[in-house]
Amino acid sequence: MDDQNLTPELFEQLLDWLNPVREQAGQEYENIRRRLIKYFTCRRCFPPEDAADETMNRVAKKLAEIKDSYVGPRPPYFYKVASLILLECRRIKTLGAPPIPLTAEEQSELEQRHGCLDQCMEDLSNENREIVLEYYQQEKRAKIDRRKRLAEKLGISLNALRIRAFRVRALLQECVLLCVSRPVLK
Amino acid sequence: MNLETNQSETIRQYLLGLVPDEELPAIDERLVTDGEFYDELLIVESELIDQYLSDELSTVERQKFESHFLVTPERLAQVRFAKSFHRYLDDKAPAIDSESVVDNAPDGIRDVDPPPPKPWYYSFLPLQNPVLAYSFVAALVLIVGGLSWAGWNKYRNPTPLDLGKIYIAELTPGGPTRSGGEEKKITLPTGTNTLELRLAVAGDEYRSYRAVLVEQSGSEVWKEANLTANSYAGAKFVTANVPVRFMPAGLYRLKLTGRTADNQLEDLPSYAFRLIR
Repeated sequence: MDDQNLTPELFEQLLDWLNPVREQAGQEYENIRRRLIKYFTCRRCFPPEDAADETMNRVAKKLAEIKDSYVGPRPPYFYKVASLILLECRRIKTLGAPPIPLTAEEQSELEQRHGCLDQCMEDLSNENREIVLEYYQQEKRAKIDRRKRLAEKLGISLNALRIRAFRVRALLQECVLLCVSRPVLK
Repeated sequence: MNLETNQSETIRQYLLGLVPDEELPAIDERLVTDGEFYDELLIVESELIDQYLSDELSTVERQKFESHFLVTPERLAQVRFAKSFHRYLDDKAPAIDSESVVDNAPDGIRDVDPPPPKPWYYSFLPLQNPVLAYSFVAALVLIVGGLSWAGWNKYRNPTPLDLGKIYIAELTPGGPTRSGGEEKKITLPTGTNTLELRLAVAGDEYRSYRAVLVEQSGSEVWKEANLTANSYAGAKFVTANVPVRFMPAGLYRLKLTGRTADNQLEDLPSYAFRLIR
């Protein structure tokens, strides 16, 4: 794969092509890149971040040819380029990676994460804390009933609750990751 | 977001690598071009991780989760977080239950004292209901007997779901010979429940494999059939999860047999190692 980085000029042109409003262009760039990483992960082209960056690079380099003639949403073009990169992945056999063993963690790591969870839960709003505690509690039948009651209490559908609970969980995960990676002050 | 019911299931199959090849491009394209679809995939990912951790996946799904899904540091981090998260929730559970019961009780009910309950066995007393009482005792005997059998069976034949603390070792065919060939030593950390042996195999001409572990005396200590080979980094491996909690230290040999496409069994090179505690 071509591993030359985008020049600043090409990067600017790519953002312009994505959206004339710079802030929105940046957001769209990140969205497309995240989805590409997920695509390459699911299709086992490793490392997925490199494959995603290569996709962005190639699209940027093609802009001079296509920007006047290409009409329509931008993501499908990224997908087209990404699918070619996936084929290359197969040809040079970068597909597949050894499964990563889920070995037991050290007790100190578990305790640190537990402490970070305590902290991060405190940072949530009361409503978000209740959502995540109630939604992910208990097993099977009790879990389903609990979620129905919670959705009714909040006045939202079960699917809306599912989405909201996931988003809070994702916030928690990010918070814990930051907390765990902070150096411990002695 | 208003998604079809089977879309989540399709995503689940996609994440586990169980979607037929011809259906992949449509899903791939949607993943990259449709933000809502991508968001749904993230949610299904987290639900899949929860199902894995709570042993809700089938054997095939679990194997695919470990071989196809758990392949990036990011996903491993997600699983580690989910493990901590659920453990944290379990710790908090009793406090949550009492709060929610009190906080959610409708007004007025909290002020009323409940009548003293009758003992739970009251309705089963023979004086009250002899038929029900004797039926209850018969059912109890059946349940206790069934649970004992299930517990004994589980002890003798631990399921893939009971792997506990795992130690991984890779083996190539061969082992110590009379002329003093090199011995593979596996030193188990304290508390290891399962030894995951990754057995290097050549090619993929076998439909499935059968593994039998024997100790130095030749007696069989463990076996498993219907194992399949997975490939990574250009090599093929068969994975055998051997319960080692009560296995003594010593010399062992793992014998591998391959089943061909026309259902014939063929002996393959074996793998020797010395287990050290």
